[in-house]
Amino acid sequence: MITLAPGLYHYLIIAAILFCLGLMAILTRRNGIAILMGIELILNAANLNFVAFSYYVTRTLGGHVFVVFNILLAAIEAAVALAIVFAIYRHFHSVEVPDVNIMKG
Amino acid sequence: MDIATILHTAGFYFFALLTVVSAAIVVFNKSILRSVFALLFTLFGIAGLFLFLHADFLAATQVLIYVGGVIVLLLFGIMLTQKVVEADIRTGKIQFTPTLIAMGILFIFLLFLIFQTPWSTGGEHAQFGNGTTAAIGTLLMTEWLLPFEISSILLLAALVGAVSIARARRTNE
Amino acid sequence: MDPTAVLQIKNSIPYFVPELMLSATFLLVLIGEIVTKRSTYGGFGLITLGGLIATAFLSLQLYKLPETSLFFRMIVVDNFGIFFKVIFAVSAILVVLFSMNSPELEKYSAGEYYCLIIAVVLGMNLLASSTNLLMIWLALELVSIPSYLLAGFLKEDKLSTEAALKFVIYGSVSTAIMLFGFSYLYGMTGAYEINDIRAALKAGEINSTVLLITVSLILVGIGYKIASVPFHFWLPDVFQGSPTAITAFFSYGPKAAGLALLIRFFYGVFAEGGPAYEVVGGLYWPALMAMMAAITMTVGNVVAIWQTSMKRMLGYSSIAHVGYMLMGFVLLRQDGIQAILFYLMIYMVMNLGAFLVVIALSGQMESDDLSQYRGLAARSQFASAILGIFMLSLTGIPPFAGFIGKFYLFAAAVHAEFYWLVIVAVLNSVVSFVYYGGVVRRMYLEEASSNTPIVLPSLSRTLLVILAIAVLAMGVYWSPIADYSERSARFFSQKAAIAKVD
Repeated sequence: MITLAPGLYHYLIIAAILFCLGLMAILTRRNGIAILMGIELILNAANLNFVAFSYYVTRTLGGHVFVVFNILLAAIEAAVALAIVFAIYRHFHSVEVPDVNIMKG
Repeated sequence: MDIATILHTAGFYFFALLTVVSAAIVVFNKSILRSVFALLFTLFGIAGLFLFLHADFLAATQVLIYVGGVIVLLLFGIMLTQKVVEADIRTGKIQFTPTLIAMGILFIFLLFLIFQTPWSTGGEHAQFGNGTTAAIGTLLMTEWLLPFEISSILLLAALVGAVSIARARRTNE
Repeated sequence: MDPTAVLQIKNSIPYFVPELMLSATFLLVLIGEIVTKRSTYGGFGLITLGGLIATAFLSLQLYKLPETSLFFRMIVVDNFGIFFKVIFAVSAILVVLFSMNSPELEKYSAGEYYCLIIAVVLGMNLLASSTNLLMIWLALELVSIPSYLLAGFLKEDKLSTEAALKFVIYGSVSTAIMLFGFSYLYGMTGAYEINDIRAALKAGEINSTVLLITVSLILVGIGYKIASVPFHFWLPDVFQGSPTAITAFFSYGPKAAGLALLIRFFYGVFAEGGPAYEVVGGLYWPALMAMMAAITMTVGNVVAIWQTSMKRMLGYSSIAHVGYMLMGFVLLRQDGIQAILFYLMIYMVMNLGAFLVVIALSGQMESDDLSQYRGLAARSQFASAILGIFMLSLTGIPPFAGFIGKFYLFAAAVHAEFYWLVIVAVLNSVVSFVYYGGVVRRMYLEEASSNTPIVLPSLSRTLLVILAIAVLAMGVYWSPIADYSERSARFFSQKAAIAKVD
């Protein structure tokens, strides 16, 4: 199954690593922009999965089309998130999530 | 083992390592600026991997939009919201290690999933002969038309809203 | 280009008119704002209302057409979908009416506000009708992304901006995780469309733990949307910080859309178009769902008790009600789904009614704090009576509609033989009386801090009277609604052909 030459499993493992790293970033980092980067890692991991499956399993372009939309949505989400981050910065003068916590409970 | 295969394999591992190591830097580096640059390399690495999967259109799109757009956006975000000198103190190791262990366990679960599933890989991999761009274009206009049109509305709504929120305060006339 | 493809697209369009109407309204409001450079909540609100009423009307017209799947099986038009289109349009109409009378929104731009709301309604319509993984993902984002912006719409208010940040982080993380789950599902089945996925899952021999992991990933995204425990953490802060009309919107529409997705996805992928669940992942899935329902309703009710902010309390209350509705989901049978749909209709009226009272009073109250409601009975007979009706209905006391709604859900759980769940739900209803009743107690039995009488604007009064009458009426005469929900618990089955309208 695992050979030296690249195969399906190699890509899937890379994607799984990216997913776990992304989740790690989201959970441990305090900076809002760093959390956004973690989200981008997870989205890229999913994209890699789709393209790898498209190549090795389904052998159609269905996966590719999904990835096109993914990239689009990731860009949109990043833009919206950053707009909100700007608004936060104007109010709180910090983008560290623990600092932005008036509401509790 | 001819030279082509060796290059192919070596190239794949180069991009694979680039992606994974850069991603690790994104997660663990204390400086947010270095993290963004590491993300840049991660996204390039992914684009390279796309090329190895014969996804030419996607590789180009990845570079254009992710690297060209998202990274630039993140850099602007950082430049405009950070103090010039970083004073970043991580919240103690206490929360860090359990999360790392949890991620490790999750990774093992995912490995289990990857190896236990009978992915139907019978036969050769795909042959996207003349490049995928034309085919993807046709698909977007036929089979995937509805998502295509809907995403244009989403784009417009997000644009309108994001500008509205990020704009400096200005009361309505 | 392939002529049959063009034909199929052309044939799908007549079924798509409600969504086209929404898109047209969206563009109209947007262009209107650019052109006139002066937007008022009243003026643009009327345009939006017009569009939404037309959408509701067009959605009802869909009943005349045969059920079918559209646009290469991206979405379907069936009774279940039309039901949701109608209630989304109606709830959006109510929210727009609320917004037109909302003092806190006054100084912000109306055109953008209404555009975002319309976009969310469009997304919800699609989410309730999607049968394709990409369409589900896209619709979910179309609901979520404008929501993030709506939550933060009060730019000058710190709480609103904070709400938007928490919302965008939680939401993006959850949907990204769900997407990762979708990618594995695609790899396992090679398919995007729900029926194809089901067929492939049956044919292949997927390890049950593998399936469990994948479905768990997907549930992260759906759970976030319906705010079930443990994916509910975003909700209280978002509800407290958002403009109140938007909180009202969030408390109903997107959750209902998430429930529609949950039902359609699970039904389509696992229930084989038939009456009962199969065993998923080596687990007895209904038991897991029952536990999720129980935990959700308990957390919602218990934490609501010590809230001091009205909006936050209503937020936890909405979590609890989703927990009740998940009871109907335990065994995906006709009666369970019907109970959920029935409850959704009743819940819309009583929940949005309660929010309308809060909005109407907000102009004359200093803050959102529950202490502001003390002695309300002395200051406004009308407001306290109406709010009292909604509070008691939410608790589930007869003769109000809330009681009937819960009764149907309990009946479904009993029928599924989950007796412990019914007991938990009944206990929860009793517990919920502590905080719902607490509001009533404050209004009638405690001293007001100031004695100035409160007068509500006439539009709000009319609307509240209508909603309150609906709550009382449905409590005694509910059979037309029950029939409607029963008719709506029907899905389009794959066997029929793709749209062939001439």
